[in-house]
Amino acid sequence: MAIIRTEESARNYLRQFLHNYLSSSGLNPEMQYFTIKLLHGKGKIYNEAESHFNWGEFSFYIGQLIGYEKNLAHQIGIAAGVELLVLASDIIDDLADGDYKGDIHKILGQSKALILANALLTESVSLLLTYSSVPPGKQLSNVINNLRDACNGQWSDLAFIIGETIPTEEDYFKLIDQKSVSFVRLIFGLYQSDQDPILEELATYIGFSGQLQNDVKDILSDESNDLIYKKATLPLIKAIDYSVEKDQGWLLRKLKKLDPNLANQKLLDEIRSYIRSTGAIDYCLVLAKLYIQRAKQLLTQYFPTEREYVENIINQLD
Amino acid sequence: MNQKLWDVIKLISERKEFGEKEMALAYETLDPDVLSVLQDHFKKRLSMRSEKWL
Repeated sequence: MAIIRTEESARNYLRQFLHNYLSSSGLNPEMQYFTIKLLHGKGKIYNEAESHFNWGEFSFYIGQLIGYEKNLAHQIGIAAGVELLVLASDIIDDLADGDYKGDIHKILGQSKALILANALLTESVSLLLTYSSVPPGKQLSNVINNLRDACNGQWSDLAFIIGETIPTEEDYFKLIDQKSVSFVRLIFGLYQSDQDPILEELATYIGFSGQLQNDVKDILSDESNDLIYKKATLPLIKAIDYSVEKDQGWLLRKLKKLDPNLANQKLLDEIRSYIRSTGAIDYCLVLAKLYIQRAKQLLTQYFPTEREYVENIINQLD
Repeated sequence: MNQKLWDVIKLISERKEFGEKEMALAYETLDPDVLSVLQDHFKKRLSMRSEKWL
C-alpha cells in the first residue's frame, strides 16, 4: 500500500477529491460554493494554516494504519466523507448553540445552514458507504449507531447546564463519551468492523482529549456562548467545585447574575479570571495532554511495525 | 486518579508556584505518567510567567 508521508500530500489529495466530487455530485451550485467556502474555515481541509488537526486527514491516516482497504482512491473517498460529516455536524452545533458570531451564521443564515447540513449529511453517508470495504450492512450499522449515540449526547447536552443541580465530573465524562467519543468510534468502524478493545480505548482517549481542549477554548472565548449559557463543561464544574469548597460559592452567585440578553463583558471577564485562578483550566489541559500521551503510547505499543502510519497519526494529534 | 491530580493543581494554583511542597504532594500521590505531564505543563506555563519552578 502506498504510504502518504507528508501532511501536504494527504491534504492535497483530499482537497482535489472533494472538489471533483462536489462538482459532479448534482448538488445545487450555490450549495457547492458554500461547502467549499466553509471548508476553508479553521481546522477544515482547505484552511491554509500550516499545521492543524483535520478530521478528514486523521481519518485517512487511521485508514492507512488499520484499514482492510488498500486502494488509495477509496481511502481518500472515506476521508472525504468524514470531512463532510464533520462540517454537517459543525453547522448543526452552531445552530443548536445559537452561535450567531460564527462563520456559519455570518455566511449562510439559519435556513440555508439547516438545508446545507442535511445535504452534507446525505453526501457524507453516500461517500462512506460507497468507498468503505467493510460489508455495507455492517458499515450502515456502524454509521447509524454511532450517529444515534452522538445525537443522543447532543440532545442531553442542551440541558447540561449549571442550574439548581450541578453536574459532576463523572456526569461530564459520561456525556462526552456519548457526544464526542462516538464520532471517533464511527471513524474506526469505517475501517474495521470487528470490536477491538485497543481501538475502543484509543477512541476514548482521543475523544476525551479533543472535547476537553474545545471546552477550555470555548469557556475563555467571547466567540462562544458556553459561559453565558452556563454550559456545564469541565472547566466550569471544577471551578464551581473549588468555589464551593473555598469561598462559599462566590462563583455560583456571579453565574446567577449572567443574563444572555444583556451585555455582560465585565462580569464575563471577572468570571473567566476567577476560573483561571482556581486551576480548573490547568486541570483540563493536563488531562487533555495525558489522554493524548496515552493514545500515543497505545499506538506505538500495539502497532510496532507500522511506524510510518503511527507517526502520521501522532503528527495530527500533536 | 483525577481527584488526586485536582488536589495537586488546586495547591499549585493557590500558592502560584510549583515549589517543594507541591512537588512532594505530586510525587507522593500521582502516577508517574500523570506526574510527567503535570511537570511539563507547569514548567512551560510558569516559565512563561517567570514564576518559580523547582
